[in-house]
Amino acid sequence: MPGMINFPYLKAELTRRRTKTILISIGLAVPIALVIMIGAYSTGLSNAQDEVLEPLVGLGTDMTVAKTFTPGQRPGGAGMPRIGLDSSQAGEEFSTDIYTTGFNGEFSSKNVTNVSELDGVQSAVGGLTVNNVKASGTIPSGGVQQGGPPGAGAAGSGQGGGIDIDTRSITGIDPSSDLGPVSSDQLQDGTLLSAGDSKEALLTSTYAKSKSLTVGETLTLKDDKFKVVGIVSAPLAGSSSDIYVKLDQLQSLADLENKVNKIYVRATDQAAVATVSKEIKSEVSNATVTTNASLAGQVSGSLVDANKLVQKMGVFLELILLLAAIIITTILTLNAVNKRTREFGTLKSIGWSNARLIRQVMAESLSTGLIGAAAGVVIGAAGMLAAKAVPMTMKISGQAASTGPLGGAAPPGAGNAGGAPPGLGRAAQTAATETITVIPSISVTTILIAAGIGAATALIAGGLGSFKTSKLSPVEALKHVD
Amino acid sequence: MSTETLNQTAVASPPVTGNAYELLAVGRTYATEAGGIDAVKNIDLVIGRGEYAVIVGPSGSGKSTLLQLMGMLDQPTHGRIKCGGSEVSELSESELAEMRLNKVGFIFQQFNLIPTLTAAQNVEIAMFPTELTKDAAKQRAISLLDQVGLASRADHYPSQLSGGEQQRVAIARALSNEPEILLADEPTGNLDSATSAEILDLLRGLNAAGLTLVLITHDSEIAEAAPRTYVMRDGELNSQ
Repeated sequence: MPGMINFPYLKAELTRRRTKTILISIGLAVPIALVIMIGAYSTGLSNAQDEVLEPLVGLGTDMTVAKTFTPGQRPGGAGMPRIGLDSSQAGEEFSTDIYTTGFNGEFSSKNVTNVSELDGVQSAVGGLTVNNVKASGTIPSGGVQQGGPPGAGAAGSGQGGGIDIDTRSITGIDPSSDLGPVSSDQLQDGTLLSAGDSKEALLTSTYAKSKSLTVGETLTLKDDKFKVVGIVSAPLAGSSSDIYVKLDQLQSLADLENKVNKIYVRATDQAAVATVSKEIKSEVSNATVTTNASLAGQVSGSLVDANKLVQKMGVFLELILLLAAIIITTILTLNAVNKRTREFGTLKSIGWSNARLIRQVMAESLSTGLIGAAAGVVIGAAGMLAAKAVPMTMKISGQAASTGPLGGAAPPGAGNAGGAPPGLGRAAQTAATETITVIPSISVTTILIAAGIGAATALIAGGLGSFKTSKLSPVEALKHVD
Repeated sequence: MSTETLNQTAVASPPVTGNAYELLAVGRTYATEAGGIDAVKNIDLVIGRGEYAVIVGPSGSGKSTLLQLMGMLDQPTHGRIKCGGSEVSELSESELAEMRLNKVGFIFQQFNLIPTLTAAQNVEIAMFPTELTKDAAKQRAISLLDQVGLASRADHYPSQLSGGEQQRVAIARALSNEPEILLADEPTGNLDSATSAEILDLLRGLNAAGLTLVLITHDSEIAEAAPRTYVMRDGELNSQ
């Protein structure tokens, strides 16, 4: 049986018409290299973002249950202490230390147990976040009538009318569980809380800095001394407190035995999250369920922006480049075919059929395409190496809501002259920023896609070239002047 | 109108057995913006097997068009062509390719060698569509080049060969599939007189060995030396 492709002829065309082969290969290689680099940066950006968000998102199975009221909704006004200092007491020294859950609704321990027994729930633990307001000084002549929750949110301290006010948010966590608002990824110094009864505290880095506290020093809450065992960073999204202590110890300090206001839940798998969320809402009235995965959407910064841009524009750019590759390769291939018109006419006149000629032209085109794809991969890889030599850094930022009674926080030192607690009613966010080095990465899939683009482009160009060849009348072809 | 009649056989040195070509009222008209141009007009022609026929005529007289029709590269606008008993107009595209592969060998004025292939590869490539193995084709190519006196130049590229050498390679290529007919379109048109004489001797030798040879030329000396000559003028063919 006659051969399908004449390989000596194929080899001769690729090697003896080197300029043509190189030109077409470059026409393919450059767009392919760019596609590879876009793909590699896209992968690098995604990897970097995933790495940053991994502690936040966890396995995609974690969620947080809360019960939040807006002012005026909360039944009985519980947890809304007032600092009422009468003007008749003017000039007297006073000191007050208040723990309040503000607008965070409470759950009983039974709620936690019930949630943990729901289908699809792997584990559930409770958490308690309170706001602590410490005020002391001399009662001014006009007294102090502070309504509503004092000093909400992030730590703040201020001075007004001779009164020192210190506010901070404290969260009680279960140290025996890895579920909760603090993970080992956030640990900057020291250790996390131990499982024993010792009085230990973790401080958020900003709070520790504002109070000049370091690991090993002592923090006083009411009259209890807590040893600072670790400094943690604020998460990129979600909730953040100034101080973390063991749950039972905080319940005791705040006189909220067996009460929690957060339930941290882990579903058995990602598929169960939606069902579990629904079950929790029917099990616990007024519950709001936030999945950690949804928190990932709250992060921002140049890394996220670049990733979004690359994800959106990458495909568009790749299509443009693919189109450019097809146009360039087709023009060059048709030009090359045109120059060989008389050659093809000769082959027809000596007995080559159209089908044989088409196969030969397609094989040439495909070979050139694969050479171009290989060159594209090499150029793309070289580009990656060059990019790695000059690493690209990007920022990723998040706003962790402080978990104070208002769900907001005041900037430190925002006291006022009237002696009112600082930051009253002002929403606060704790900003967290990380700088990430983006490392472009070439995957096997990227290489296969590049080879596929090369082959597909070459087949399109070769197909058009072959079509033109097949339509050649041998007589006209033989008349063609090369 | 041609004065030739069907079944007329040429007087040639080799014995004539049957007809290589039978053309009946063959015409070829090209459509142009100015109207139709009759390149070939109602030609009746019979060429016997083993005949050596020369068609002579000035440029534009239609002789190359006639050769292309005989070589099955083009189809007549009207009339019938029989090649070795096969009605050409009834053949499919692939059957025509098969006929060109096995029945006829083409020799061109410009040699038409593929510049990227060596002399041997240029000969081999004509055998590629056949059942011959790669080694057998290679061996045959060398043998044919030897017959035309170019065995030592088998690995040379066309650009490394003289005009005469290139034409010899083209003749070897035309002979590669043992055709019954050789169609030569001005085979000496690009050669000096000494080389032309060598090429003509080579072609005459092939005819003497039994191949039907149809040669087109505008060289009257070649025409005069041929056993049968036809004159083509304004698309009409006349026996000389």
